[in-house]
Amino acid sequence: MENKYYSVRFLSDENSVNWFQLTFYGGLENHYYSIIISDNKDDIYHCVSVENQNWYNYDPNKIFQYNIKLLQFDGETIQLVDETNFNIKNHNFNIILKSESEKEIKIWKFYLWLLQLKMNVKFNIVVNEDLEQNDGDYFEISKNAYDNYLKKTDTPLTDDYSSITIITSMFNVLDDNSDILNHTWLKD
Amino acid sequence: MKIIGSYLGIHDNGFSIIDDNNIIASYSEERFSRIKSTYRQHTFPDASLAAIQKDFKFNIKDPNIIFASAKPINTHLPEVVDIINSRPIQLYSHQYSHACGVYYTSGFDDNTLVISYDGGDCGDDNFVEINKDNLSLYNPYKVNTYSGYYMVKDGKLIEIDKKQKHGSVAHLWPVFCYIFGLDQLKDEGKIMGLAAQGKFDEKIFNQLNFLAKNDFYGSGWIMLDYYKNLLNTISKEEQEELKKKLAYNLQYITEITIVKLIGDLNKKYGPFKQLCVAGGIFANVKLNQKLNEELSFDNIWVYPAMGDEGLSLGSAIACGVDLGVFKNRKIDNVFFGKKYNKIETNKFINNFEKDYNKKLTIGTLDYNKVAKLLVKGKVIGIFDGASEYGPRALGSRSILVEPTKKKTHEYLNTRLKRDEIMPFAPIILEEHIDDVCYYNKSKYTSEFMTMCYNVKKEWIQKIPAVINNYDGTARPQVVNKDRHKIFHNILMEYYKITKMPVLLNTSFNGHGEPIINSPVEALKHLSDNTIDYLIINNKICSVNGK
Repeated sequence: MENKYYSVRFLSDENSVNWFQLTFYGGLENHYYSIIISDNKDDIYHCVSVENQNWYNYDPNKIFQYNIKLLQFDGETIQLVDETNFNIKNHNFNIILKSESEKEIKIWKFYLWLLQLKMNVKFNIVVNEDLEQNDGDYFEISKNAYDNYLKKTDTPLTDDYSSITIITSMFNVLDDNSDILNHTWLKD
Repeated sequence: MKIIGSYLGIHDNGFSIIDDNNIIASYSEERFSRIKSTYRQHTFPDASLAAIQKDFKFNIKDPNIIFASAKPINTHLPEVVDIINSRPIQLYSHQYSHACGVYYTSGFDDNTLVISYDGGDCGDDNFVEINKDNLSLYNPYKVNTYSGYYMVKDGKLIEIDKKQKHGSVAHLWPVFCYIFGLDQLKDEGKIMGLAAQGKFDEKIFNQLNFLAKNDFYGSGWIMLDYYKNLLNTISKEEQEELKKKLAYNLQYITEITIVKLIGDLNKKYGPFKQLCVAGGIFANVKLNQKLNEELSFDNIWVYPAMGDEGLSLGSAIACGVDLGVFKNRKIDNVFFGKKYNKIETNKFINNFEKDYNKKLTIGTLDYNKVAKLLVKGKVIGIFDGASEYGPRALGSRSILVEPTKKKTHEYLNTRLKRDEIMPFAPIILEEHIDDVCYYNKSKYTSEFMTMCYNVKKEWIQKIPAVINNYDGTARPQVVNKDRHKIFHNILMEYYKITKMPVLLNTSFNGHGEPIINSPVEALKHLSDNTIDYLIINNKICSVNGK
């Protein structure tokens, strides 16, 4: 996602940690900027003062629908100069699936297929491969990535999670996906 | 039943101990480490732990002792992990710990609104106990909670609301500390003191109000570089004027924000008869004055250890209330800090001449003589009993000076090597407080120097050293004859001579230091000529035959 002020990218690092990166392109001379990133439930609130990197970071987990506000200060007034709502539904996205279990990969793929139908969107799905940063935005679904996600949510780590739990916890981009989850192929 | 409380966060950490219904001690790490607020030290409060364990004969790792802590705890420290691996810790939320500290020391009945408000806890979550089995799951930076609002039912606090995530008006203060070239968590009082000299500025107010009304407090840093750069490009006189305007408008936005917040809560859930407040924002005595004057509560109690230094005792109290052993009471004092017995103290006194190569004159404590020395303008330090818990020196580690000269502010700053902007504070005989101040409610909290009051016109000229001459207010410590014997005796003798029931009281410390803790520090200040006389162990000491 990109506008004239900044770009936002989703990336996954070599430790299977999914994160997003905001790059600010710079503003007007002698103007000062602050960026506020929040989701609609205020589960995420991230505030950065662009010039001096003082920041407040509020539990960034999965953010596929979020709002970015850009504040500008010219010495006279502080004002909101840009507000962008990002929704994954409007963007193409690489999803990396990593698992040694063929059955798990099938379940994840099927869930994503149903999700794409429902959202009327096309994800690029990659299995057991790494992508480079210039390959576009990407998000990893794997047990390692799920453990990293759980650590941020203070949920106990065990080896006993179903494949569908992993993908719906990490990649539930719909407010209600109950009709998808009711599909018999996704029942354990 | 002994309960150890702690705060193991990144500043103002320390330990407390209660025994059934009794508060036994509260040791703040800064008093032992000698680093104010232990800010940005990111270290374990080992000195206060060692002292409290030694003085009260327990070991924190003993699983038979109940150990509570306010959140967040800094699990990045190996010492914290070591304790958690040896025993469980009962966790209480940051705001609830503040709230328990203030409510259960107030003596107020159920008809009370309890407010905790500060710069955030960096770690409120659902953990109630941390132990070695769930240590890896604890995230001290999970969810920020900036305030907790409570009402009371059958003596128990019930959370009615809270504020999370978007920051608080307290977040604007560190920004201004940096603009002014001051230290966060140390110098906010200087900005509050300067505010009285400033005036309303529509432009600055609108900038702050934009952040406040949209809940964009975390974006306050947007103002930093502009104002820092501006201050560097203007004359010294213009700098002073701009700083005063910035301070005034920051204080103003803080006051209107908090007064409205509490007023709205009182309307929605009350009306309540009493108000309890804790959290670092309530170190702002001018804000507390506004609460007292503009809201309808009959009585306000400000927790004397309102900042995070109050959390260790707050968590112990929270645990004591949970276990049914700690009951609400009006506390008599906050002398919960380190106490040195007479024998220990005498050792230091006896070593003075060897340590400093100066002759020490030791006389019997005669309050009339002390009063006469004060009349002569002498600076007198007091080291007595256990030190105060919280930021105010209330008679155990205090410095007294006569209050009648305006230039005393500059004189004391020079003697104490300080750069105070905030006016010094008075101690006033309880019997005469109504003569000096407009003082119709929230009287008890003034025994702990936590609120400003307007001073009567006829007294403003008489005691300029302890008045904010820009707004005619003072933040008195009201001195009760039963609860503050040394202060009361000195004040009575001073009153007999001068008809003045007021003295200047400031904390016993040098520039940038926390309040002194041990007799060694008190005697060093005597040797360094910071003070002229030292009252210690029921004696009065001076150097080189003064």
